[in-house]
Amino acid sequence: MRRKLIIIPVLFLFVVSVFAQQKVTVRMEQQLLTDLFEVIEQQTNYRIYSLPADTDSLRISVNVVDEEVLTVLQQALERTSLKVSQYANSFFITDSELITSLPEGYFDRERAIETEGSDISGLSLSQRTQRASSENKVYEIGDPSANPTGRVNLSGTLIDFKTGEAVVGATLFIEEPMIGVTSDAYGYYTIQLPAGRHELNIRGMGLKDTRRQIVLHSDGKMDIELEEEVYALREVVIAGDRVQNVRRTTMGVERLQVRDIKNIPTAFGEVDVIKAVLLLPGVKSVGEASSGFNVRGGSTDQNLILFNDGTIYNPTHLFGFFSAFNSDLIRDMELYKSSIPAKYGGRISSVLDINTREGNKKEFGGSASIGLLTSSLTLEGPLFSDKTSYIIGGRTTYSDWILKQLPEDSGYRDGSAGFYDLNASINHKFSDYDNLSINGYFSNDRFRFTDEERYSYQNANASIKWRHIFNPKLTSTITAGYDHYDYDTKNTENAANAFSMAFDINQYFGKADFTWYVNDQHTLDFGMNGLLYNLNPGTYLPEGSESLVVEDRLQKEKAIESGIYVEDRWDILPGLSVNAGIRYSMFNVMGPRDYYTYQDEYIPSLSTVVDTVSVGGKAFKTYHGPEFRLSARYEFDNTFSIKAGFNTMRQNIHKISNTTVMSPTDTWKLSDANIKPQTGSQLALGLYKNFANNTIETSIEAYYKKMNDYLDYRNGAELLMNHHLETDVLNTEGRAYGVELMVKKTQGKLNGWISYTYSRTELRQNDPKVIDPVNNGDWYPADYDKPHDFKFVGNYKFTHRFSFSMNLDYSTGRPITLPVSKYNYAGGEYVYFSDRNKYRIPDFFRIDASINIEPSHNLTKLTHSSVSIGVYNLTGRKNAYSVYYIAEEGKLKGYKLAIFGVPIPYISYNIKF
Amino acid sequence: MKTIKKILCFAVLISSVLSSCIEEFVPRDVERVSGILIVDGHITNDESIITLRYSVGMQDTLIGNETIDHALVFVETDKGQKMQGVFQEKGKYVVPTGTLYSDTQYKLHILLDGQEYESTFLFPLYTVEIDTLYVTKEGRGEPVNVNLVTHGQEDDSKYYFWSYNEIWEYRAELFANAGYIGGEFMFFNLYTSNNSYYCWARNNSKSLIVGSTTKLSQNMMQKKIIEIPPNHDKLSMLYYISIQQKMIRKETYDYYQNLQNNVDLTGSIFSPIPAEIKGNISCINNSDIPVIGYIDVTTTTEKSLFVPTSGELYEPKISNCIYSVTDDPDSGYPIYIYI
Repeated sequence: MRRKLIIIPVLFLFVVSVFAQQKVTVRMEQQLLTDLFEVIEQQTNYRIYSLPADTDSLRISVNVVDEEVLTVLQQALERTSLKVSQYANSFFITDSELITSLPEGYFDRERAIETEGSDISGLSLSQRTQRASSENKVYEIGDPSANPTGRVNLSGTLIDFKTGEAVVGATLFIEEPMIGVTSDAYGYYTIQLPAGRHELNIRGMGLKDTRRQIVLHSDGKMDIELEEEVYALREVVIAGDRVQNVRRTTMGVERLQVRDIKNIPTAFGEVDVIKAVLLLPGVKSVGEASSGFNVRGGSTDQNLILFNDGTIYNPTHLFGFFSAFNSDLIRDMELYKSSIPAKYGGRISSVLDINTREGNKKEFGGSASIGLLTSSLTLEGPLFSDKTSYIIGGRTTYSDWILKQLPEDSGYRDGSAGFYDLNASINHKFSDYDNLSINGYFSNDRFRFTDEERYSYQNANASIKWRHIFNPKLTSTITAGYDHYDYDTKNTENAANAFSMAFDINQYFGKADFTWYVNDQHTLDFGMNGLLYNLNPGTYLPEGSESLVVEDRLQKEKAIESGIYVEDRWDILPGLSVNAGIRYSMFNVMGPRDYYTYQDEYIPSLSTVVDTVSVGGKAFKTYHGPEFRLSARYEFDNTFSIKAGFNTMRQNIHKISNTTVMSPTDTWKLSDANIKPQTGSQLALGLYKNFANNTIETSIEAYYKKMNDYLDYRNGAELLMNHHLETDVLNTEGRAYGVELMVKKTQGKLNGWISYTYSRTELRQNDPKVIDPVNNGDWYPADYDKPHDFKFVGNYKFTHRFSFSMNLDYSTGRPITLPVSKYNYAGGEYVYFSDRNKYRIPDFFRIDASINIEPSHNLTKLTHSSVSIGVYNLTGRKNAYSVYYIAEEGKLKGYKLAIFGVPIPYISYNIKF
Repeated sequence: MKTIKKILCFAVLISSVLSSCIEEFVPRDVERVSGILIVDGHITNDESIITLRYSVGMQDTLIGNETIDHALVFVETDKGQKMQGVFQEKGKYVVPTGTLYSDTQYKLHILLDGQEYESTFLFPLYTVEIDTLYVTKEGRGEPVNVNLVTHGQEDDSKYYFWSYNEIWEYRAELFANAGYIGGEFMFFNLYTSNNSYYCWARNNSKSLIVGSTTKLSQNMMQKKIIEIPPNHDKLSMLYYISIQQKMIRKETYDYYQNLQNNVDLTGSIFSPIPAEIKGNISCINNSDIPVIGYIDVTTTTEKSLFVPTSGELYEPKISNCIYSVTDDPDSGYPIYIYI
């Protein structure tokens, strides 16, 4: 009992000391009361709340020097009927005094329980976890008898109140002094605060803005239960982490939650994560029917696409019309365009990290959707206990009907096409310190035009992930998994030439990532990862007994890619932070393998072969080097910051393609004795400013990027079933630069973003060994070089149930190579081409719109359904995908191809139970 | 690649379900390049026919008069022989090459407007005979395919190039047995030059048809050369085709394949990006002057076929030869005019 008596005064003193520091000096004669409020608010951090009806006509006189605000206000209102109440940093001017303190003995009750617990377990208070769910309660953390100097640690997990899922990427901060952190992928956070009382603010996408009042005695744990924003079920809240925009040290990071993209109108009404990514500034694609994307001038294979840590090699279904990810299961995704964390490696342009949700740990639920082309079903719920949950989802198409609509003489009516994908995850929480999840993913695409010609491709991933918290300052994640991609083509049209061709990639990976919250100035991320590639670059087999096709198998390719990294987030001064990371990567090309060596002074070709080298099952070529990841931020105030970043990257796997988009028969190639890894570096600078209480975010980012040893094919190259691919490719260098402007409105009835990008991407073949380089060795624009790019994504909420969404997309037409001359040859008309990518197709412009009807918010209803009705390409503009000449009966004719040349209406229906 | 072509056709078809998304279009502001020298032909046995033309701009129309008639064309050997071509007509030069010797390299040499053009020296390839020509038809209403089978030895080239000429006989819809010739009313005799009932048409290959056996266990080729739609008047009376075969080098094959892809496979979703490949003929006094063509040195073999007059292959369909019908002002009878 005695102990208590000591504690409370200490606490009280502290509270007073926090709130009593700010004093004012005012001299006023018969001035408006509201003027006084203004003066006080200017001189201090306090805010004063009043009803204008009570106060706006009152005139007062005050003359004080360096006086407490409370006293000043009381003095000013002495002769009125108004009363002043203080609560934290706020004053309330009301008719009657408010009760701002807790009932007496409140803390005693709390404390009594705490003490009891600690007595029994023998643990100190700091090791127990509280679960904080109320804004109006003061949570005490740590051992009150501790008398800490400096800062103490607070850690815990953010949990969704309704589903028990972890809340990822939410920001926790106190304002005075300004200290903030973000919850990690498990909802885990660690923040270092001065001991004492704080108001801990929590902001997150789709979350109700909230705060918890804490009194921090010593290191301790507190899990925080958070509520979703009531209407956030399908709301487009583009960036709830709005303070982060200015505050975080990294730049060029875009984070989207799936609920943010649900209302974005798309072709056929399919919610599509990659189409949403394409609406972000700095992300482009060559055309509408391609799920491959280009980030800041990088090519499509320079993006590392991670789905629950597994690498996805073909992120598309049905030739790029849909992305391969079922949006019902996706929690969020992050696109790193510039500051790529050191834990990622292997690609030089960007990282798209997609994560699925955990299943609901509290109750069984599910959702189903029906669209024009696909249907999906998702089920989730607790397994055995509330410590384990599962979520499974499947999606399938019935696109065959499209083929049946085709005219009979098209020859495709006998064809069929389809895809499906399956996801399953199990999540188990052993304790507050250990969490295990198992994820599986499988996607399949098949299509055939006739019985004689079939194609298929598959992605498969499986991973297991163990998250362990050693102590509040040190956490770890260990992941192991397997990724697979393959494609298969069969053609039996002509019995003698009938063949089947197959390609596959198998890789095994392991990662160990650690985060160490060293102190309030340093947070260290460190770890290592390893990846074993196993590529079967192609097998070509006879199909059927009459086939004369010779069995041909390319040599398997094997390599080990490994990396170690360390990255420090260092808060040097208030406002100045630096993120500095280094990653050392190593790539060992493994045998057994036979390969050619070539004369040094020539580019590899069959006429310059010197020798054939045979190696056994050991590493025969090693590439290694450091990669630097640096970024710094200086924050002028809460709403304005400047950032700069520099990074270098290495990539050891190359996609060789002579098509403009990712196609199902693209070949991937590992670096080997003759093919070097590609490297890239990027320098970026950005300014960030928020307006209107952080609800309007603006930013401007500029970048300059260089790419070296990018693999381009030679004119007329043979890319499939090539035993010496190095003789058909060339090293190319690239440069890209641009400025991205963005204005985002994150709250209110109208929200969304507008972005404008000016950017250029150019390539050059400047290897002096190349006799006939593309465009004579001059710079030429890349296929996805679209200098002007304007995007608008908006959502207007009429009521809580009805909203209207629209997006608008304008860009310069992409470069193409057009013929400039034509002639007769061998009886037909042929063409002579200009320099590569000298011309452009007409500019692109598209508007999509949709109306979304949300479910009723009646919580007692068993099912909630929502309907989306929209039109893709509202104006029906026939946007050119390409412009070209085709010979028909020996005569050339010019054409323009539009992928979606008419308005495409759609309706989709979702049900949640 | 053919597979790619199918995919892109399919992708286009998906979108074209909703509308016709492909429309005729001529890009504007494209530079007009014309006058590039085109060298068409090969050095082959007996007579080598080399045709010289020039190119025109994309907005222009090729009308057949883009021929070069004032060049000097030679076939030269590494042994110092020089055979001059004789100009015939429409840019055609015939060089009497005679027998091609296996120990001799041949090249083409052209003098034109003060510039000299030369192809690379090559040893001759000896083309094998075509084994068979045969027709296939899957059923009524299906097209008739003319196919060939040929086989070479293992050490022979595995790349082939074909061209063809076809001649077919068909009939006018109506038989006019009388008419005015030179103002005089006459009865026509079918077996004289007055015949306007039986018609003959000719055609030749309009694209570069190539094939390769590199992926096969034997140097044996089975190839569809032409597909005739079932209701085409080629198959109304009698159809004749003559196919010329040349074995070519890989480089020639790649060059042709690229030329053909550039007008067959461009523009669509998975299309390879078009590109120019340089041929083996160049301007020797100014390497910046572009020249188009690949002059291989190879012999030619030929085989021909009359498609047998079976009712299954010839689905009866009378062609419309009528050009116009007018009433004779004097007699009031209709007059059928045929072409």
